[in-house]
Amino acid sequence: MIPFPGRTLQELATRLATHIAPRVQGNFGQADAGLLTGLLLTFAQDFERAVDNRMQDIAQTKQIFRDAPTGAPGTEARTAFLSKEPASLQLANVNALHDEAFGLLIDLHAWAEQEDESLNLAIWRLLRDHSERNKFEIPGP
Amino acid sequence: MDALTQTGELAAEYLSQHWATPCTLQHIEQIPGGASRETYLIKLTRGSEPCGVVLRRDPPSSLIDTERAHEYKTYEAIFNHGVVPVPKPIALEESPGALLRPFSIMALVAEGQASPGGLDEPDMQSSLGRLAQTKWSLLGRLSSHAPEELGIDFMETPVHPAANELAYWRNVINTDSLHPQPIAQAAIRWLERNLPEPGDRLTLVHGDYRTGNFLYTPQGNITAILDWEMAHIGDPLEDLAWSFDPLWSADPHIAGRLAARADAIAIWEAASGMQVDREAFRWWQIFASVKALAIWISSAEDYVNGTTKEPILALAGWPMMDRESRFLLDRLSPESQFNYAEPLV
Repeated sequence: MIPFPGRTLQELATRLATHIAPRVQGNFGQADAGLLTGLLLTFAQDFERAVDNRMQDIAQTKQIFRDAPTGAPGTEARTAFLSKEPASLQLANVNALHDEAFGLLIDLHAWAEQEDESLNLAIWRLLRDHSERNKFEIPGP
Repeated sequence: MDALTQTGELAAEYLSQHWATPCTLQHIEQIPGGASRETYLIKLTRGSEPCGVVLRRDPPSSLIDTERAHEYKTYEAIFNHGVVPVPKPIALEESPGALLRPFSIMALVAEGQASPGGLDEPDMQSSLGRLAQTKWSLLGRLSSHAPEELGIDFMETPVHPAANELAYWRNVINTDSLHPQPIAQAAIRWLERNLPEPGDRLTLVHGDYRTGNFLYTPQGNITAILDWEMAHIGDPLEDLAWSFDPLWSADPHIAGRLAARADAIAIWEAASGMQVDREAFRWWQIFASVKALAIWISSAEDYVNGTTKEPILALAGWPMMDRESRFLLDRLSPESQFNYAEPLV
C-alpha cells in the first residue's frame, strides 16, 4: 500500500519546483516545469478527498431530492436515484453516480428558480458547499 | 539537429523565399503560454541586417478552436488601419508544407513584456496608473470605430450580439463538458432570462482583451495587442467586461491588476465616447465568466480526449474551471458572501 499518496504527490511537486525546474534550460522548459508542478499540486489536493467529496455531494443531493415537492417534474427519476449507491468506491464508479445526481439536480434547479424559492436557495447552498469542498489552492495565471 | 533548431532553419528557409533575400537563423526559442498555437521567437539575419520574427504554428491540439486565417486577417486589418498597436503581419501559410503544420509569421515587437506577474514587480508600481490609462484608452479607441472603418468585412455582423455569443459558448459547454455543470447551467439560464437588447453600436471586439495579451513597458506604454484569434464584430461592452473578470487579477477589487473598476470604466468611456449601460454591462460580466468557463471546460476535454497532452490544457482546465465557477456562484447565488468576486459593477 502507498500510505499517503496525496502527501507524496505534494512532495514530488516540491522536488520538481526546487530541484529540477531551476536546472531546466530555457523559458519554455521552465514554464513547462512550473505547469507540471501546479498540476501535481492539484492532483495532490484532490487525491485524498475526491471520493469523500463526491459522496458528500451525492448525500446532500439526495436530501434535496427528498425535500423537493412532489409537484416538481422528474419526481420518478429522483425517487429512483434515492436508492442508488456507487457500484464500488473506485473513483470512476463514484463519478458515474455523481454525474447522474448532478444531471438530475440541474433539471430540478431550472424548475426551482421559477417555482420554489426555498428549494432554489437549498440548491445554491449545495452548490456553494460543493464548490468549497472541491476548491484548489494554487496560484492563478 | 534538434527539433527546435530544425523549426528555426525551416522558418529561415521559408523567409528567404518569401522575401527573396537570404535569411540565416541566429536564435530560436519557444515562448511559453501559447495555449492555442505553438509560438516561437526567432532571430535571423535578413541579408546583412538583424531581424526578429514570431512564428505561430498550429499544434496537433488547441485550447481554443479558431481559424488561423481569421486571426491573421484581423492583424492585417488592424495593422493597416493603425487604430491600436499590433505586430506587423508577414506571412500566412495554411498548408502544412513549409513548416510541417500551418503557421503565420509576424514581426517581432522589440519592446515590452506580456507577463501578468511582471505587473507585481516593484519597478512597475509607479507605472500601473499610466498602464491602466493606456489599456482602457486603447480599448475605448477600438470601440469608437465602426467595423466598416477597419476593413474587417470578412467578419459576420450579428443581428443580436449577446444572443449570438451566448449561443456559441453555451454550445461549447454543452458539447465539451465531461461532467454535468450545475453552476454553468444556472448561469446560462440567468443569461437567457436577462438577455440585453442589442446596443446602439457594433464594434470590433478583440475577444480576449486582458492583462497577459498585450506587451507593456516599464513606463506604462503598450507596444502591441496580441492574440486576436477570437476577434469578432459585437457589443463593445463584451471586451470591457472580459477585461474585468476576476480571474485576471489576484485582487478582485482591482481590474486586470491595474485599477479600480470604476476608474477603468471612466477611462474607457472617455476614450470611446460611449456611456456604459450598467444593466447590459452586468449581463456581459456574467457572460465573461461563462465564456471563460466554457474555455476551461473545453481545454479539460481536449486534454482528456485530444491527441496532445500539453499540461497547459489540464491546468487551464480543472483549477481554472473551479475558480471561475466560484466567481459565478458568488455573483448569482441569492445568499452570496462575495468571497471570490466583487458584486457586479
